[in-house]
Amino acid sequence: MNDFELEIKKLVIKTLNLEDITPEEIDSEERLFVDGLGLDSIDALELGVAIQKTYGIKINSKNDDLKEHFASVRSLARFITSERKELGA
Amino acid sequence: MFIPLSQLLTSDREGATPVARVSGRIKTFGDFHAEAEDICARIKEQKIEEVVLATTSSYAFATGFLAALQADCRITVPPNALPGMLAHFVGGTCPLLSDINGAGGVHQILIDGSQGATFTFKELDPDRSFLDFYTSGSTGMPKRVPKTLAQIDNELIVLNQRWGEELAGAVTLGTVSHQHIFGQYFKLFLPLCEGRLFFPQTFEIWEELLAAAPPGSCFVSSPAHLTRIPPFDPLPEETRAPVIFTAGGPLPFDAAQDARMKFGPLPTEVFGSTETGGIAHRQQENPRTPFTPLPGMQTRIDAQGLLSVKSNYTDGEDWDTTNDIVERFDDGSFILAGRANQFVKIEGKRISLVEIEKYLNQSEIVAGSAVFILKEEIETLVAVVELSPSGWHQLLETGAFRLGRTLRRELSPYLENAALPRRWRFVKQLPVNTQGKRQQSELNELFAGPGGPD
Repeated sequence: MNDFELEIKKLVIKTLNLEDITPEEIDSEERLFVDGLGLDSIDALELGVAIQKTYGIKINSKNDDLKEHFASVRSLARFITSERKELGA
Repeated sequence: MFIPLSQLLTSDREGATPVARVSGRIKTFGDFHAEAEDICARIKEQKIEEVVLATTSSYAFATGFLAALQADCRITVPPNALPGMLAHFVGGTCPLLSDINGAGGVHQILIDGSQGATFTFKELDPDRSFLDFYTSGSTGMPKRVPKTLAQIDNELIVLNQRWGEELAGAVTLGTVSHQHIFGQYFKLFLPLCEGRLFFPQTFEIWEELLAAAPPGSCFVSSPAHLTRIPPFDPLPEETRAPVIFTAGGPLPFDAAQDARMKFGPLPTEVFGSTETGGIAHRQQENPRTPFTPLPGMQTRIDAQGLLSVKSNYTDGEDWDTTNDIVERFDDGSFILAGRANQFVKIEGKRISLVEIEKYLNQSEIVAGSAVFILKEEIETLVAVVELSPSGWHQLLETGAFRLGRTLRRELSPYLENAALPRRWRFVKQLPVNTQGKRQQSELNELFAGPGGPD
């Protein structure tokens, strides 16, 4: 598991107050919402806020397919990495 | 210009008037009229007297709503379009009118935007046009709340009187569903009657709503979304929202201030219920800002502070007693002080704990359950579950977190997200005293430490 994916798993658990689960138990490829990890739309809102605050990126829905970016830990890691590159961070 | 729902389809409103932005293109009043005719003609073919109306799109809801009333059908409006909810109502004599293809099985009239079949509309008799709303009931079954179109039109006239000027020309977008009365009136019917454009979808995230919103749009939202606004820069002065409506539950003071900073106005909190319609409103300048009754709304309290209300759109035009305890002032305004019965409000939704336990206990892996609100910094819906033997087996396989999520998925065909417990504890036996009464303090105690099987 790469370090950034681990960091995001920790952020997910901390932000959403998930109990009884460790970062190691979340598969980077598994779907975060509905089936898979089973998060819901309120979780999505909170996760979106936390990611923007933590990484200083702006989520702009005009040209991006947000559902794909939020599909799994891996896709989220890719998305945040590329957004931060654009910011020159 | 404001036109009541009962007169809308027979009015002289210009065919070119924009009604809604549907999938990137404008639906005009001409489209709206032609689509309602087509639906109405198809309902008439079936010779039925009742329909269930549940849609994804608010625009589809509005065409189906007026078409069904024109076809002399009584309309059932369920609080959501979940399969388990629709199964209560849909059948051979009462088909589903919906834009969700297949949701009603063989008993469905599809709302698909088709035009072609014609029908000559009449002015509706608002006292003889009937609807049944449904809300959480004390028995665990949805409770029927009948209304006439006259009640709906009367309330819309009041809302137009109170906010029509402030909203003049504003496009409306919402994060709430039109299947509930608040979203239905504020996000759909008020713009429709006032001739303002609305967006038919229910936006789940702010980024999508803001990307779609023209400057100066009105937002119709709820505490669930207003407490979770991302760290946006404030909207530029000239593009600010004229009014932000919110309802369903108390809006925290800090969330109100955050929304003002980012969007412009302090959110307008609308207090009411499915039974009474809108009662009062406030903008939370300070946490003790009282709610002001809507024009024409009378209020009174009994010795316990239980609020009763009366207007030309409350049931039977008589005093209607709410479940809310209030502190009332001489001018009729009031501050909310608590609720009087076993319903709880979470994320702005009224839910019945009995109903959640009923569905939970139907699961193969559940032997018994206790669902309640845990009051910490925020109020959280939690469940303590006594597992069946197969439940224990599954707990060992998947772990406690995933077992909780599995149970949430099992409940999701019947209950909305807000009614799905967020924290779970699995126990060998629910704590009860010798009389078999539930021990609430022991139940609370289970959440004091970390989770895991007991």
